Amino acid sequence: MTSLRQDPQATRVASGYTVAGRTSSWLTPRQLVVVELHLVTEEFRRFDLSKIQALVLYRTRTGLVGSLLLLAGTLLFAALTVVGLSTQAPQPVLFISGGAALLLALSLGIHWWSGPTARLDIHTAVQRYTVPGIGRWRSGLRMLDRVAPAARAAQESPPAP
Amino acid sequence: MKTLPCPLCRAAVTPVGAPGTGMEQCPDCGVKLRIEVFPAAEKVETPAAPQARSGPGEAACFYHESRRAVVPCDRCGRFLCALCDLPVGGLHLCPACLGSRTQDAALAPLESRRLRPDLIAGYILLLGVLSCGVLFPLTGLAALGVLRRFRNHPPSLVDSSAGRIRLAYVLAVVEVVFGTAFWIAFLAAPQFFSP
Repeated sequence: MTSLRQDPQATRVASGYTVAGRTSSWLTPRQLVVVELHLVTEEFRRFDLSKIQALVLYRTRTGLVGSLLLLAGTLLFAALTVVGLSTQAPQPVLFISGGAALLLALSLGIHWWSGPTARLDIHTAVQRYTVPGIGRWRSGLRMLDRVAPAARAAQESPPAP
Repeated sequence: MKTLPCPLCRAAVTPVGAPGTGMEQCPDCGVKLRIEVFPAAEKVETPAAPQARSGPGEAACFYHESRRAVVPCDRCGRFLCALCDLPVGGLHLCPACLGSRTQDAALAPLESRRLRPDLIAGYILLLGVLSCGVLFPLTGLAALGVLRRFRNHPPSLVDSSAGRIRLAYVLAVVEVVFGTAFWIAFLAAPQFFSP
């Protein structure tokens, strides 16, 4: 039995990380397979392309909250560094507060560069499933643009005998 | 056109425009969405036909005596009515056989979880390294035990685990050999290890 990575008919359409572990989504000719690796266990869900009713990508407010928190932290540590410089605070204190401000500013830059946060839901007749590992609008859109044509083609073509 | 509930506020959102184009906005909470609706959403499921009652001389369902059997279970052979017939991967199964979740290639479509013995062995071997080699004989043997116990286990669905399993075997043997040699030397000539 070949793994999805070795299967020439399977394409990885998304991958990412969650708190629980690594995730990846694979598109095969008939199914969409979502695999989550939890420490030493692989858990997977298969969605028949012919049974998918809808894909919904939507923006979440997590990104905005994260931006505000990172911005507040950056400003706080930057202000502490400026105050420390003007009051001739000990050097280790300046290094720590300056380093923290720089680190938070860098995180904020990466966060902004990654784009807005989003989630992707798969609707079938019996469930609504949020694809794990899709956290950004850009990655969700990429997956949507690859899965949607395959699902449409599977549903418009007559079923295999 | 089918309406979908907004994922955030549950208000009804009607997708407009051609498939693959445009972005919707929830009329209630204003969240931006992109919705792709497929023909499967428009299909109306026909309700199941009323269950036929078994008459004299007709086989009855094992689970519902009053209902006519339509098919035997492919695993246990019990007669099943249309309600109890569960088609899985080309087989007709009864609820009991499906519930037993027997390791069977025919039931592969139902499988939803796999253990990764290569990763278990890897973490055990790492524990030996973190103990600075003191636990090498134990962790090496434990890793070998895990690899042997799961030698017929189905491989990872995503990665090719054959190479990792071979590497884990080699590292486990190395840990056992080096760890045992260290402990023999330590017990035979402890003065070499004292400062």
